[in-house]
Amino acid sequence: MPAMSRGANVALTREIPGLTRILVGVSWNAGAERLLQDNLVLATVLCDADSKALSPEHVVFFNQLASPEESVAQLETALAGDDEQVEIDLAGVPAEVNRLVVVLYLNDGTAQRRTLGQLRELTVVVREAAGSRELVRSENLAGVLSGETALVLGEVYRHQRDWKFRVLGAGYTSGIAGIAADYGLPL
Amino acid sequence: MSEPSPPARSSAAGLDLSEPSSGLDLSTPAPARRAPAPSLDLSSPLDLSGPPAAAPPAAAATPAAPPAAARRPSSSLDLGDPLDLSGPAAAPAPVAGPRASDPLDLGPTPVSPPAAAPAPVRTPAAAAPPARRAVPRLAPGGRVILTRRDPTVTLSRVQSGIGTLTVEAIVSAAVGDVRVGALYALADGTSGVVQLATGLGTAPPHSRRPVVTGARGAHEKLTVDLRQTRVLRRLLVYVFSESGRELDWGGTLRVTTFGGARVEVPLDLGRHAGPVAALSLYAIDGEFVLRAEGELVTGAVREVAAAYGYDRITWADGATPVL
Repeated sequence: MPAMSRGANVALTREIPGLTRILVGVSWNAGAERLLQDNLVLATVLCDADSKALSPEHVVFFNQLASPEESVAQLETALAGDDEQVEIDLAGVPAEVNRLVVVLYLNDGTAQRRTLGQLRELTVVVREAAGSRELVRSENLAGVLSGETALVLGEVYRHQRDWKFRVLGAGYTSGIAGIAADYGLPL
Repeated sequence: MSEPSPPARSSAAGLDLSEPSSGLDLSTPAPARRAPAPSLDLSSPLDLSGPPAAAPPAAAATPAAPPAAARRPSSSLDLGDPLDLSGPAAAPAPVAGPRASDPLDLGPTPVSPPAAAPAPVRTPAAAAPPARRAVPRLAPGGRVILTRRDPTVTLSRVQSGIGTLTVEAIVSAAVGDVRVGALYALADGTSGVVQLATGLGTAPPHSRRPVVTGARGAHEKLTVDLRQTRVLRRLLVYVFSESGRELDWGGTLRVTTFGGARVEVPLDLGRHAGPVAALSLYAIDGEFVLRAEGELVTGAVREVAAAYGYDRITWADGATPVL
């Protein structure tokens, strides 16, 4: 399957009947930029139909490894060549959750003055959880980035009775604070 | 142990210790996901808030400052031995649901009430969910003032894990030459001092990627890098007079989250020469528990360290750690 470009979507559960658990992975190449790499954070926000986070407990990242009902869980050790991964049990996602927004941000702190534009390569991939088989992969999202410090990589969302995945690659120069504001996530 | 699958995965578990994890593998679920096991035990924010009142001048750590010494017990526990802590942890668990299938696990626990089958096994932390709920929280964008009566507040995992957390001493020049410092203990077992006044600007020292950084602007402040929140085990923020003379204390120690919520610790403590232990921070299962200390310590930073159980630091003299 060719790399998915920004905006492209795929009907995961329709194309692969019986698909229940997926891994969304992200992989990057930060070159020699150690501080950049050390401060990248993958986060998944569980949103309602209005694309707003259900609560501060509905953001899954390294310091909150799973959503309250555990349908979405960050893996402490990513496999299959990805740098970070989040596992999603599609059937277990609460009915009020309409979309899972997967973001990558650069934590403020020692990474000041670093940007995602310094990444040489950045892709998001969806895998079958069992076996980590790659289902779809995005194009390199790093190419057009410059001063961004946060990026919505893509989203897994309900469409009729299926789950679909869409590549977004939407950048923010305001970092996670900008994403949090857009998705109603109280920090 | 043969039970649920999720625990095995690194993923889900972490979160809900409170979840019905496989009954008896107490030992495993907790450590598996969430960072360090010891943090769990600490969890009892209750304990933290407890000691102040009682405050029996336990250890002779700070002869001159009995109240400070009182805290000794709790702090030494934290650092010290995860092992000891895990021991007692086992106790409450059995209540959940003894399984004939795991005699070994049950072993240490004498009691085996005929509990219900799927009774969720709880770690000590989760053992008191109601108490946990009762823990004061900081609303996003909100403000909490810590007092002697309500000395603690717990930050959420988001407030404790995204962006930075700053601790700033808002003290007018009229009070005097006030400076800020902090004792810290990291997950790797190291501890030390961040004190810009003596050139110790980062924790760990000379780090390219410090967990805590000191800086001076309108007021002096410390910044905690929350990307490394799991590296930080605890912190004790103190303020002191740079010249060492007696000050009539006033002002506020202000903690600001990345989202702008604030926790304030009043510093109206009267006249005192020597450091003031102002605020402690304990990282417990991914959440920061902040506690106003307001302890007037006689001596120097070394005495503050002794009173709060930062006993792995070597001192050249009372004000000079060897880092």
